[in-house]
Amino acid sequence: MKRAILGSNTFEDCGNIIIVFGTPLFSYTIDGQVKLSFKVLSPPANTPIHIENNDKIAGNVTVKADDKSASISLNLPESKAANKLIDLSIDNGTAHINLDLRPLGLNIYSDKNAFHVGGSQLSGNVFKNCANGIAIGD
Amino acid sequence: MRHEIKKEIINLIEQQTGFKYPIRWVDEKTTRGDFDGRESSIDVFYIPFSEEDEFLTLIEPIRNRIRELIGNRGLFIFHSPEATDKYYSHLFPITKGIIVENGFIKFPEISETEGSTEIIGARINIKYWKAA
Repeated sequence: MKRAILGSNTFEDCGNIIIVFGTPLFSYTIDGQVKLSFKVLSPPANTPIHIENNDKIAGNVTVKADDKSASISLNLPESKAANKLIDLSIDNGTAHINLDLRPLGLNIYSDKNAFHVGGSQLSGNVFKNCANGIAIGD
Repeated sequence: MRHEIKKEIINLIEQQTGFKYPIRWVDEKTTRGDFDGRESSIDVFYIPFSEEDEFLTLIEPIRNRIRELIGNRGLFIFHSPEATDKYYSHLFPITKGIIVENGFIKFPEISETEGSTEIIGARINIKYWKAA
């Protein structure tokens, strides 16, 4: 079973955890090292970011990965806030994901208690066998 | 004021402040009664009294732009975290404890307050909403 936790929400055997305006936001595989893919278009983001299996396709970002974790950070000359867009770590087969799209101008982020979309929160929910767990935008 | 302009102003402030505080144009869901400047007033939630000056400092670089877009001075109404929880929790919905199988939860838009969700699932075992 493929299991992931995002903002206290659990995803089991889901195809995509989040899609943003129809585009799957991220995916990962574990093949020696964690390989992370991440894609957000502009608009809705203020700049496009595209990473494919840790390889940078578009965006001024830094990708870090090892056998248990991977992260993508936005390189900002003067950061007003934390600029790590996604941080994923594997523990006992479960992916623990922190997400923050605020540096991209989207009020979407997670903390240990909830996943936040604007002023709304998802907390302690379970998604099973979902093609897309959370869909944001029409 | 046109909806697009209102949205642009909210986006400007959100990005300038790093989305630190939820903000929203004053309407009947937050403020009753009439007062001068109501049409150009913005509610700022979850802001401690001690951070109000910091907020105004943060938006200083865009205040002229906001004034241009509004065509007048903007007015900010600050709500402390305690007041926000007590009087405005309906603007900050929490979806909690749901099991969704073969479905999804949809946010039709990214709204700073009062965001709505659509829950689509073949089997939803538990469902309740809890205000903040």
